[in-house]
Amino acid sequence: MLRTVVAGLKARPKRLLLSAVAIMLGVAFVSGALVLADAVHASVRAAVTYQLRGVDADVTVKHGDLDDTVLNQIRQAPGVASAEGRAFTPTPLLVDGHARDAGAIALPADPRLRPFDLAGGRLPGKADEVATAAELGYAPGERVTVFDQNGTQHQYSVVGSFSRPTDAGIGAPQLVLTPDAARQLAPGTAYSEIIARAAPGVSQQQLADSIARTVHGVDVATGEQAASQLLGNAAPDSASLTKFFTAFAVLAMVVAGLVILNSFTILVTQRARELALLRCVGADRSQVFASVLAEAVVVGVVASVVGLFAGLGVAAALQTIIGAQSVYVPLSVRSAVESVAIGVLVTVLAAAVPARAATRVAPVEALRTPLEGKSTRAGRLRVTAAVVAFLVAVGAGALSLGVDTDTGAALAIVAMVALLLAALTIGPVLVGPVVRTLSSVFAPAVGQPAKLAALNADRNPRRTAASAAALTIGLAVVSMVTTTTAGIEAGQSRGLDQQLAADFTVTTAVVNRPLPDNLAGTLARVPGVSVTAERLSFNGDLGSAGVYSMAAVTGSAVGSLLHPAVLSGRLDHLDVGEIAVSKELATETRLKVGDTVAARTPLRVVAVYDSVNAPGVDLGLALVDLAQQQAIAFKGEPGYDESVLVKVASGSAAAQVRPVLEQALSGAPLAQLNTVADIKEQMTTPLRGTLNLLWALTALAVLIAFAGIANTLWLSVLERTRESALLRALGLTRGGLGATVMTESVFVALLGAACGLMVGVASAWMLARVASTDAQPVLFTLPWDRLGVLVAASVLAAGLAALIPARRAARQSLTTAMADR
Amino acid sequence: MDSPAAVEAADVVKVYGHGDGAVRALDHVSVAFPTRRFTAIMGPSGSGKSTLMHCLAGLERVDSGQVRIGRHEVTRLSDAALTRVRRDHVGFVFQSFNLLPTLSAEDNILLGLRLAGRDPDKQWFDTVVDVLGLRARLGHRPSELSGGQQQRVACARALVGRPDVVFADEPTGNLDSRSGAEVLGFLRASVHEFGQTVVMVTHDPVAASYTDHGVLLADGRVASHLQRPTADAVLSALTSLGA
Repeated sequence: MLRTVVAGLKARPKRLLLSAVAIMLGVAFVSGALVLADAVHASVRAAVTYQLRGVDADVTVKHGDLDDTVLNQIRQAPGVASAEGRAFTPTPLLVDGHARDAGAIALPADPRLRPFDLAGGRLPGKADEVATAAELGYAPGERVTVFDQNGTQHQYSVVGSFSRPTDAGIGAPQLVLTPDAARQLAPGTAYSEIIARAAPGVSQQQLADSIARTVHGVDVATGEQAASQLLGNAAPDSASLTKFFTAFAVLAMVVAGLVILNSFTILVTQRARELALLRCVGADRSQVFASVLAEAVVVGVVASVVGLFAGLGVAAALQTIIGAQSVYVPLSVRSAVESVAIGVLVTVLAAAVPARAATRVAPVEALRTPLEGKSTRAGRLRVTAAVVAFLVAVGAGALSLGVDTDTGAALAIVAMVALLLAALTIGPVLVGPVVRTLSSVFAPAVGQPAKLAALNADRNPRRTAASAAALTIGLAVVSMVTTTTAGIEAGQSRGLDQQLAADFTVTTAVVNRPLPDNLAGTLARVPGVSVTAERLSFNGDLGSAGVYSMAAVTGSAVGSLLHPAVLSGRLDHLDVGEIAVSKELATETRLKVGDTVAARTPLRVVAVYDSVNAPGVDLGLALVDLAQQQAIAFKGEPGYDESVLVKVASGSAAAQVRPVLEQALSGAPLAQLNTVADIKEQMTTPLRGTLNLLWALTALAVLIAFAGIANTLWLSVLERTRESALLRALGLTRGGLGATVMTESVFVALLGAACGLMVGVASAWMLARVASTDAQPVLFTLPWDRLGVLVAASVLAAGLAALIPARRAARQSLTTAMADR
Repeated sequence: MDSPAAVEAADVVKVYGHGDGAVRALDHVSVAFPTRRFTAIMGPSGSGKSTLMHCLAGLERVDSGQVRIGRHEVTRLSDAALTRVRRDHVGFVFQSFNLLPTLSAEDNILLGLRLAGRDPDKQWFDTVVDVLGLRARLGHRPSELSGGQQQRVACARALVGRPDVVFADEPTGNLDSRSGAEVLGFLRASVHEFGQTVVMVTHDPVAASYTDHGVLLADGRVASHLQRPTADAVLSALTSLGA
């Protein structure tokens, strides 16, 4: 039996090639996702190791400050070889006239406690010298300008550059200054941690114990404990990223499984005679089953191993797309085994159904003439199942509109899946009418090939529908995401227009750096400006209600420059002694209009509002008059993320006022002038990035679908060799025969794409209805351009997928094809 | 030969394979098939009779020599031009019927004309369909027809375009004797009553006896001609060739 399997594989390598490609791509995705997860861990681990290298003990405090007194105490503790205080000082850099976020540390005296390596030049020795991270690209001799907390500029000359792994969000520095220079920039700053190195012969634990005995009121961790703590803090990010990619890996495998299922079904049908012959000569059913399955195992193993290595490339590519600075491709045994196992399992499971069908081939069929393309018509059961799925989709969709957002989203997802199932189930029934319609549309341009293509596609509707289904799934996901993203963009844009009546905002380039004093007043005097308002975010202490991130705004601007959606109460202006709370805060604290908040000064709730979060116009969880901010600020902390709203006088055009405003801001490099369009752009940038990534990910699933279409066509062309030769004999040109195959491919793609788009767009509509709120509307707008690109790309890809099968059909020798058998 | 030839081979050579393995399937064959005649190409297996038919019909290229179909010298035509000649001037009937399973009998009959973009001659179509007794079967798919009916559909397809010549390759090979006799009778009638030209490849002496003229092939050469062959004459001629 094994011999017949091997012989069969040898005889039909090309027939299995494309099924193998589908599995290969799927496994590439799976292993890519697994490797990526490992890579994200590896990059975080590398960064953490670097940050804490040489550290045997790490001292932090929960309350109070770590200062030089504590540092000296630690240095005196038995077993301490050296100790350093570490503080990360925000040091915005002036680059091309604009401030850019950066941070500095003071140069540790102990070379073994430095979290970086010198890459070129030397380390700073004087207070006006600096070493910069290699990726900033400064050469020794250049001068850099840094802002301190008050916005004052300081100049340093670059004397060297240093290297360290990617900043994985754990606060690696861009600049290294001398301790004196660091103190000058941020006087009185306490250390965030003190790190110590053990004397020879002292273990990390002994050192930590010794420090804990010497200094009281501090938390001491060993170097290892500190590293694992830091790792744990960074982990959630990488976990969610891994989940995200895993979801797409599942999508890719489902699509690949469909392709395998379809191609093995076709292969078994084509081999019915051969299988019957096996039965005739004495093979029992289980042997036939095993022979088909064995073939699947071989294909699965070979394709999965190739896919595994392709996955390393996928992981590297994905890291580039998400903007990693250094690319890691760690291949763990676990990832390798899992990827191959998943690939083989999916292949075998998908082949099991056709393998079972193979066992039902009766021995007598070996003696019959080959049956020409058995056509299976859709049964009533199929229609019923599709209708049930569709009704579930409609029901869940209808319910989702009437309930709260979370339940609604869950119901919407149920509706989406049901809709997709309905589309996939009804597929075979749709094939006939759809291809006939397409044929009559295409016939005037393409002629006879369009009619023949429709006949071929409709010959085995299940096969055609299965090819199309793989594409349907991919396009449903991508069109749903694309349409929803467009809706969110449009919604944010509308929400911002409703909330913000200003023409410009001036924001600070570095979040915790304030704008120049009285900038609002200065700008209000600029010709062409009618009114300005100040806004800043701060942590407000609402007494027993808690501490929340809030915003303070010039009270008179509320209702004119800023009018968030008011859910209850009135918000035409805001006075001292008044507060407006967001919908979220109202829900959390049960505050309502008319209540009084017992903050340090009592505040009366005048409105509940809902707002859009956009850079520079963030209204936080509650809103107070600017004059009130100091009175309720938590621990008297200053505000941050300051901005000024500017409205142009009714007689002036925003474009004319802009240069004047820029002139007025020329002395404040931290100030950034934004138009409303700029803000919208800033809001959509992260969304666009996510969308691009989703397109790239779904592209792979769609690629697999096209491998499936090519595969089905290839097998069909082989099956129809005699018919093709007959058509050629009767007068169809080579080009005409090729066109027939290509047109069939385009028909399949259009069917799949149309179903996918309908499911995707319907789902997006549902999501828009569920997720939309007054202040943050999600509109249902069809992004015609992007959906058009999808359909055009599908048609193009379908043509390409048909290229090889079409060539094969056209190249076939007429006489050999027509000879009997 | 009293009338001009509908199709003609002149000094045709066809070799399969290369070097030592080369097989000379046609070895300088010259033969003409007159119009309005029913001619049989006969010979034992491997004599080259099918190859000759494929070359005559423009299904296969010759290595040297010329083939003429009607007024067209086809040996040097491009594939597209050759396809057009086949479409407009040649009809085919095959041993295994070769109908498209997706098309109804009527669509199968009209397939060649549709590929050529020609309108069928309604009167001629009706004549052919009625003579072949297919009127009641026009809406049926090939899978719903008997072997004899399928072959009659194939005959109708070959004739409906009024080609210069119809090639029939062992048309009775897959039929029982009664259906075979019907098909042969029809092919003969199409020549004698409707003025068509039919060239039939066969190794069956009985089938050959329906024809006006027999060409015997052996080892890729024309061995002899038989006028108004009878089954016995064909059998003895074949026997003398050592078949």
